[in-house]
Amino acid sequence: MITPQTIGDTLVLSVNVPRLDAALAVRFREEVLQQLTEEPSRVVIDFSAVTFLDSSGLGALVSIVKRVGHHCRPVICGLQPAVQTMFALTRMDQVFKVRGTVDEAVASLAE
Amino acid sequence: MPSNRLRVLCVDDSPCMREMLVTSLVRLGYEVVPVADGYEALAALRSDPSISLVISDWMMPGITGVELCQRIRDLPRPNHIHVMLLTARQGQENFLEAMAAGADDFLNKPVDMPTLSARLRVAERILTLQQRMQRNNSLLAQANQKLRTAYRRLHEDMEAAARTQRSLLPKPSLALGAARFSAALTPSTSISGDIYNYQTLPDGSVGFYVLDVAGHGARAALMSVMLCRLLNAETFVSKEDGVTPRAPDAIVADLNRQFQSDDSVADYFTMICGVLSRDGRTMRLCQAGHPHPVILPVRGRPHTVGTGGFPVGLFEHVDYETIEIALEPGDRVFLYSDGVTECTSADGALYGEERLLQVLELTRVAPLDRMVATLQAELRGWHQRDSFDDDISIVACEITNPTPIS
Repeated sequence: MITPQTIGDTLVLSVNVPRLDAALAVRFREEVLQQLTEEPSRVVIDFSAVTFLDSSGLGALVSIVKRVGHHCRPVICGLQPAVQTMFALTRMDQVFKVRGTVDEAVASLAE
Repeated sequence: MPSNRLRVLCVDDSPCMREMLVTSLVRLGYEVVPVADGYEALAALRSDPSISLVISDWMMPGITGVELCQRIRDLPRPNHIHVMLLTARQGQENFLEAMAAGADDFLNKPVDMPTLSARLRVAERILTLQQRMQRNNSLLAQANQKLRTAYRRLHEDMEAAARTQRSLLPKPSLALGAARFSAALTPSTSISGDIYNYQTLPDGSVGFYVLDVAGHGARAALMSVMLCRLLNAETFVSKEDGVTPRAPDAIVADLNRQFQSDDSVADYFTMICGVLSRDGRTMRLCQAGHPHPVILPVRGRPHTVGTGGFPVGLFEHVDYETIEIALEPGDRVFLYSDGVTECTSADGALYGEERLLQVLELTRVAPLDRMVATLQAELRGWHQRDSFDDDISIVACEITNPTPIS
């Protein structure tokens, strides 16, 4: 469910499931954490294929970011309307660095 | 030598042939029951369930070998009986008819030892496989029974938990302070991660909340029950005087401090916590990641209020806000969990806020209970399946006449 790709020195993790909900939240967390090393790194998580994120999916994302918080701060991008709404409702847009596209997210890390 | 000595029923009307066969079988290590015709054979099979192999002559007075096959298949025996028919001249008998009657194998007369020995080993192999299958089937049946018992017990436990949980909910329709409250909870399973309550506070105002623990099922339900116990009338009032209602954001901020989850599993919840003043003119709300409340004014279109807020238990150092809404008699406030807006249709479309607002506007003139029931029916129609994917909780309130100031 995660497709990794390296752009420059940034690791881009694309989430390729349309619904990130309770049924997939645990697997999502495990697969993302598997990709992240203990080294400080530049990471982008691309949600452009995800049209729906529920509370369990959000919980998984937050727990990933908390876990790796001491060495990297993933940039989130590609939020679809329903996911965007969810981010605004729960103010996750204030907690995470959110960008529109993968390119913008990668560029923001190079700043 | 056969490993566990099979009992073989040997059926032949010729004493000479019978004797020859018996001698061969005994020499090969089998236990043999010799009989002279089909009737005796059937009697022996009825009285001795340990016989699993029959070698029978084809042509016999009384019952023929083929008829005997047919009757053996009709016997009420749990195990398969392997039947071999003896043929005098190969090709003359109707083999198809014999196989249809239930014959498993054929032996040419006179029987030579190596062939008999080989055919018997085949028969044993088949019987062993059948026994093993039967044993596995009975093990499976036992395991299935155990699972069914465990499932039933679990189901009963869940039902008991659901009853406990429902007993914590306030009456679904209740006049409190300056308002009437109406609520409904539809769990996705028997127990729910959603919970709500409304209660009068010492100064005559009403404290209320709706709460949705992330995820659903037993884990979420346990947490919601614990929160329901914790969020009593005392939580809503100042510790100093025990009367003054606290600001909802302070209540939520307290909960957020108490419920910081470790980072392995993010256990958290969204909620709206509120206090309706005694005169029903002011509602103060704190929105913590829960869907936007809908206001249905007597005059004017339904609209949402609130700008969102952090869920409770995710981040420690975050601020919460209280919004204040001015109300007048007849105004309604509608609170709901994301199970409403995220309810999916058969083709995966979300119910969404827009449809919700439309239904609320249409039912604006109906009694409050009716409005809640209509929305529930509407969601069932939208979802079109027996159970919902997420818990659905709804709390609606309508400002009635202000409590007279005494």
